[in-house]
Amino acid sequence: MRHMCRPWIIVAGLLCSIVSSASAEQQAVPQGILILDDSGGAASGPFYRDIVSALRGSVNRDPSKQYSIYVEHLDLNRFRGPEYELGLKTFLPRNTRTVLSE
Amino acid sequence: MIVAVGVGALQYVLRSRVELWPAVPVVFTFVDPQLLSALSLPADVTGTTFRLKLFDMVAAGRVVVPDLNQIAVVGDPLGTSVPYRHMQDEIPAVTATGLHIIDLTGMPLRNVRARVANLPVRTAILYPGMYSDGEGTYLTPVEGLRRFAEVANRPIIVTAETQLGPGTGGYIAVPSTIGQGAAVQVLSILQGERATAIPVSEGNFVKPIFDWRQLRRWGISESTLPPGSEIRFREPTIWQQYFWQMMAILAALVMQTWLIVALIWEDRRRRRSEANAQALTGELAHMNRVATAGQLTASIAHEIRQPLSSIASFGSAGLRWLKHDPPNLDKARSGLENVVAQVHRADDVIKSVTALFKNESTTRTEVYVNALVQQVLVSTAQARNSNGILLETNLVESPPPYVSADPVQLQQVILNLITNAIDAMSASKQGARILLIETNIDQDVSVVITVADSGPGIDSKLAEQLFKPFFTTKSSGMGLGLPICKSIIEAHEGKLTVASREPHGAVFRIELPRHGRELDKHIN
Repeated sequence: MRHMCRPWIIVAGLLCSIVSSASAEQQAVPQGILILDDSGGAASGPFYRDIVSALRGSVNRDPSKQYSIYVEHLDLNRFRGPEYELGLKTFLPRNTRTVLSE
Repeated sequence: MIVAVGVGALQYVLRSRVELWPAVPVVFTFVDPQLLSALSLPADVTGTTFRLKLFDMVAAGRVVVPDLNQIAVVGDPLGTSVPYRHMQDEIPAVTATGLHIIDLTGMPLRNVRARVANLPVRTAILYPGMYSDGEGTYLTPVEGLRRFAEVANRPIIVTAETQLGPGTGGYIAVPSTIGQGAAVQVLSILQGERATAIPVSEGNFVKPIFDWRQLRRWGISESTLPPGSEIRFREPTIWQQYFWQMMAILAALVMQTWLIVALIWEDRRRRRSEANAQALTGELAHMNRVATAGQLTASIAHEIRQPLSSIASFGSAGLRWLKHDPPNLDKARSGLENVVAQVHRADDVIKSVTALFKNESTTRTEVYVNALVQQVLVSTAQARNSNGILLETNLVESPPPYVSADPVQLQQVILNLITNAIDAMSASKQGARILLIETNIDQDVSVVITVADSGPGIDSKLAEQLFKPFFTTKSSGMGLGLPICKSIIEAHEGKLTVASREPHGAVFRIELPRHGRELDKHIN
């Protein structure tokens, strides 16, 4: 009798683990968007602004399904190098944590 | 999830992802495929590549400068600028087509300005982009373009939609399509698709787009542009700009023209009708005068017989004075002068009768109404006398009654009214037969001629019908006299009315506009 119960326990455990992993996968679908671009924002002219604007408009076209969007202009044409990236490493997680955790 | 726009952003994300955003899917866009191939992409990183080709810029240059043999490249040095680095590799192939390249990349802007202002004719300027000039001044690509475009003497081929205006156009990147392309992949992931299942694709975000103002400036025909080219900033023509306003004006003009034509046509039709009516009235009036002539034959004969009798008498007397011994020449001359005077009198009678009954249209002249009345009275004297009718006249002298009228027609009206009065009184046996003729000035604006008789009068019920054609109270009349009189007076802007006279009789009243100018002349 004890030997008969053991396989059922294993199957039940496997099913639980599948359901839980499926649920975890569902939760992993992102709901927030962090946009990083090369430009320096408004000071860099309208080209990147228009890309981001079109992206934002297309993603949030459905009023019933709106996503959080956070935009950061890295301004890589002016700033680059290890020091700059170190600054970004401190700055970005702090400011993008909320949007990426959604 | 993360969206990286540009190769720099993607490189940064790939470097920092493990530490900052582990397991967060990444979508990239606006990344050159050659640069992407140098990167090691994890499975959950996908996106769209994009490439601006130097060949496309040269092709656009050949469109705006058909006999192109040189291209001047302005911007960041191709070898060092990340977005355009790959263009460096295309240069040998471009020069192999026979084009000479003037390299103005990496130069200070003031030098660029000096050079682009004096480029040879068969040259086009290619501008991939500029983030800093040769002196290290940071610029945006649009700003850098504006700085030298204002002095450039050749058309400028650009790479981005946002550079149109200073730039002439070319195969250019449309940022909104780049954003929309990325959004497709982003939405797929947001809706549950795994990033690993979305392959990296090549984006088609380049379109041949040209600036209409620059095409005009450089005299470039739209027909030479590549198929599918889009032309921006086209100034609408006056017709396009004010289409509805012009249509409204056109409609108003058409309606106005139609209205004018209709009015002219109607006016001509009315004039023709009036002319016909006038001619018919003239004919009727003439018939009426001829008919009246028959009635007045005795009177006219009498009027002529009188001077004839006088002529005979004065002639006989003259002869007697000549036969006298010695001849009395003075008396004979006096007799002959009387003969001449009576001949003139007879001639006047004949002239007035002829004038009355001839059928020809006359023009309106100033008419002294009293004289006209007197002429008619002369013509009707015999008829009055033979019917025992007493004449009373009261003709106003001051101010003198002048009207503007056709004298023959006006004389006909007065004659008609007088003969009617004579006829009416001849048939009546009531009291004295008195014909009263008056002329008056009414309120300084009208001349009034009144013909009143002491006949049996007119039944008030029949008064209105008197002026209708073919209505008559006479056994021998046609009923046309009074309608003709009324139409003649109305044609002279006057009125003809009838009323009963106490204790019996009828009063016909002619009212005509007074001829003021002639009156003033007369007074002065």
